[in-house]
Amino acid sequence: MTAFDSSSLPPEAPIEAVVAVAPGLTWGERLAPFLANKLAVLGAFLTFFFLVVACIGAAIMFVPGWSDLYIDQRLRETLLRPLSPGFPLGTDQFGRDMMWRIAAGTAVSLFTGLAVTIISMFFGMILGALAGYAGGIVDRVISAFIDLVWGFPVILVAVIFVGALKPGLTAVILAISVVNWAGFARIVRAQVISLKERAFIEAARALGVPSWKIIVRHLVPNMLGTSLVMASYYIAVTVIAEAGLAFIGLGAQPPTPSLGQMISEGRNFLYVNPWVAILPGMTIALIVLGLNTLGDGLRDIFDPHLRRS
Amino acid sequence: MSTEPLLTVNNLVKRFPVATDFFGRSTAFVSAVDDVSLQVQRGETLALVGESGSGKSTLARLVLRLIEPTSGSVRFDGQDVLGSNKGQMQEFRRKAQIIFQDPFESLDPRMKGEVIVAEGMPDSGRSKSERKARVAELLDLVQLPADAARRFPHEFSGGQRQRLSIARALAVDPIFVVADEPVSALDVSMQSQILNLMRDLQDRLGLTYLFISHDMSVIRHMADRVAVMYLGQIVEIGPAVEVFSNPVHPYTQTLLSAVPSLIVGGTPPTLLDYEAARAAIGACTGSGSLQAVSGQPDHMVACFGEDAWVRHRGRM
Repeated sequence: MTAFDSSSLPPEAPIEAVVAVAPGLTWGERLAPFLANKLAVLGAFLTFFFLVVACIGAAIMFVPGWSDLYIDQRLRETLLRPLSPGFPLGTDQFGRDMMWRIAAGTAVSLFTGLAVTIISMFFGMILGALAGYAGGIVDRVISAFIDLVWGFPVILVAVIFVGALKPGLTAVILAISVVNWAGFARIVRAQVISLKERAFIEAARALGVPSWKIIVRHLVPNMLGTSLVMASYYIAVTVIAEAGLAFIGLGAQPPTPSLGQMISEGRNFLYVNPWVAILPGMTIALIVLGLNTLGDGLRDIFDPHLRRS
Repeated sequence: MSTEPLLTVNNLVKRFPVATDFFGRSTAFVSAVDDVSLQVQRGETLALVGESGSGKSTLARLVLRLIEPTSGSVRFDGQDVLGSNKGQMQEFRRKAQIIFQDPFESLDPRMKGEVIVAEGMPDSGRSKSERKARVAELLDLVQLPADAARRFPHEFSGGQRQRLSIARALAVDPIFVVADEPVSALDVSMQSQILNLMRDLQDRLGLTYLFISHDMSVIRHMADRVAVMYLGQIVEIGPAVEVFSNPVHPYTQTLLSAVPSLIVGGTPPTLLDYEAARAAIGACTGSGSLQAVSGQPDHMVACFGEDAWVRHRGRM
């Protein structure tokens, strides 16, 4: 029997560069498709920008005294145009500074998006993984439940929750989560079904590794990429849903600003002072555009099969 | 050493549903493994041979209880495998291991060598340094360099990955290893290295192998006994020397005549029209269908109709 030939090993493999994302590539190679996708870079930039805006918005909402910036109704001129001295984005019908209100509204939107996505990812992943892994009757019951929930319109669920609780962000977050987890569960279930047929899962079972450990050690890490991509899309979807609910008055209640609510109020002046509605509307559009293009870029990193040619 | 076989399989059947009615009840089945009985003695290598779709891999998974059989029994080392509770299964899993065909599929791409090898080791009772030492010992046993512990699967060649799979299986000190086409994904020079390693390990650790392959030259190299599978049944079983020198069943003859490349006349029937296929080759069904070849009590063959077989698969 021949001695083991160590020359067939790559000499100085960049072990440190390999992390648990897409094995086999260095960070540079992994980021290349992302950087080549100009829209994705724009998306990352936009998302980062709005995260900063949201942080500022959260600060002025929670730091005592700073909230004057967006709720104070001193005797300022109402409906000032954007680029007025002291008010870069103008003022609304109560003379409140649009810039700070949009910052605070962005914080509310992104917080809702993140909260809903974390909640629905948590339950979606657990139930989806359970259905896919267990199969049989467990799968059929959970899948039926998923289909049932997925069929519910968010607005209907939101009305129920607002009726049961009181109108506000909590009800909205719960209502969207109650529907959105089903979206995660469907994808996770499908992924688990394809993953569990792979030989390394079977090898783990043959070694007597308990099911929960197989899920934690093998399934979850191998699904993380897809889940991250999905999460970015779901945050965008949630931002739109939250704005829609706020528009019809089901979301955050005044004085907490929200982009949807601002559009709703600005509607009354749409012909004479359109910026009151258009500026928060554009903010929503840019947040969603940023998240979606970022999601596309992430998908290019994690799923080489769908890479743009 | 007791004279009881290490593994005894009796009348094992696995049917997969292929069609269901409105209420989710199965209306049509494929019999992937159909009434198989065999024994594996301690320390020997029993080779399972047959073309793809003959049920070899399904049988291997049934024996290890990775899938549940439709009916039948599996006895392993005095233990009723299918009747075992959780604790007993845990014990069984330490004794019986598997090596898979595709070395790219069988290792988690996100795990380093040491994590892969240590996967089956019990969490308790060993300190971290003891586990590390054990991993190093196993890597040495399969002739991998020590730094393999810190590498990811994609940094290995196919043969090295297979060595890693073997190390992972040996980490729990098994006495029985199912090797499911362990070398068919490797190039020929690697094949002989891995096969030699497996024989070497068998001698050193006293392993018993159930060795699955479609490659007769590999089987010739490895097997003490050979079982030939066709359409989910064993059509011939006996000592390797005997089966190779005196194949009785036309299917075995076909396989052997095709060495080294497997070119069987005609096309295999899909398992769906299995009943028709069995009728066509005129074989008897049931566990009593294997009969000893005259003068060779260890060499058993399923009865068959010569003319029907020729009509069924043609002559090569």
